[in-house]
Amino acid sequence: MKSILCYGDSITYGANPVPGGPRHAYEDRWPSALEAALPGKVRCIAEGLGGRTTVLDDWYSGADRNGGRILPTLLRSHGPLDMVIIMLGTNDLKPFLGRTAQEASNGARRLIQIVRGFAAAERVQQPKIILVSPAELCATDHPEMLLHFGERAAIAESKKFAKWYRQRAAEEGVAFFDAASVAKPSPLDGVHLDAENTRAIGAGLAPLVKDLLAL
Amino acid sequence: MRTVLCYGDSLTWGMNALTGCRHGHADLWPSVLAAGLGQGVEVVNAGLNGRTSMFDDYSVAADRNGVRTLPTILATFEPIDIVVFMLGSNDLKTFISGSAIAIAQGLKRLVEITRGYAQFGGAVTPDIVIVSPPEPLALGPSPGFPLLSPRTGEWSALAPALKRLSADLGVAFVDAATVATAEGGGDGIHLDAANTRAIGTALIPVVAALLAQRGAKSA
Repeated sequence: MKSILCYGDSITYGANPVPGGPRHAYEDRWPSALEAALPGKVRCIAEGLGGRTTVLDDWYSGADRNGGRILPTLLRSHGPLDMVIIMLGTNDLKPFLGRTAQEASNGARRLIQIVRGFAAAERVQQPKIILVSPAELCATDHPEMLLHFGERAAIAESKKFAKWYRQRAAEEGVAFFDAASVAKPSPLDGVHLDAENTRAIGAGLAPLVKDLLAL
Repeated sequence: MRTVLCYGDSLTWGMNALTGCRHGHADLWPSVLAAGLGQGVEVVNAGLNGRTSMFDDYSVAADRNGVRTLPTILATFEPIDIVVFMLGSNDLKTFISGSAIAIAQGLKRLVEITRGYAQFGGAVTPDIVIVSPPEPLALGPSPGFPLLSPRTGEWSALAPALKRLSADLGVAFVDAATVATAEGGGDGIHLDAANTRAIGTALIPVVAALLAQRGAKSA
């Protein structure tokens, strides 16, 4: 049984694009879908936090949304790990954080460094790493959600995720997956995914995970 | 799907002191609890080696201060039905030197955070179980685990303090020392697989009863 840490934001948590809607059902969250696609082979630990950034502070929440600060704690808590899948960056686009897809990819690179540095310091096996470029944003009639991210500018910026994340993954020598290749955002709020598109990320990752872990 | 969060230290993580590795997944007490509760309940193992109730410990890369990381963990797994806290052992380390009273204050703060966190629209406040950890066998310097405070008297004060606290706060209380011992664990602190499992077994009826009560309330 291989242990996989799925490190992400509200998409990994399974937030519902229906305003006020409940969290997606357990089996619809993408880490659950990935686990179901490789039955008996992997245990997927879903560490998705709404609003989590790569490495930026955001004090709007009581939770610590800085993905760089909490990562070592989670690596220890869920270790030993065979794989870490990182899908973060969308929240970095928020105007008050003032970031771009390229800067988000640099934050993601920092997370890769933290995973590797943690394993080296603890002298444990280096987990395999998959860097996932986040799903894109889309137009919506929702009055507020997309405003958090910068509206049209954010939609355009989100289309650049794949390019930069692919490049960072190649530079760092980790595997790459483009979530936008399998999942589309819901026009209900322009940001979050419906259940089907959420599951699609897990199903889409399964062949790559199978290959990397030689399952 | 109901969710039970197990927030603890290396005894929840499942440290096997004889091997230095983690106990098998099925032997971890949250796994035993999950098996006992059956389908429809997700039990989250949020155990971290060295976690304290409310004290900083910068000797590792992980953040061991239980008060600081709890809001983030709560937000990650919400909505949560039950939070089980089993913390306190690490607070008694010589360089932390928490007293039993300090541990009780730390647990009180954790309960406050849990209750105060879920106050946004539609949020549910979890029910809470405080578990007093199994007693260490040899306090003070020893080859295996030379870290615990020489305040040996503090340990015997812990379970009564946590029991009083639980009554004051209106949360459930379980004394793990009544079902599990560090004997055979290898270092006087950590537990072997059988004693680790025993904690999960003891918690099954407690958590099941709380879940049933919640079910009745929401029905």
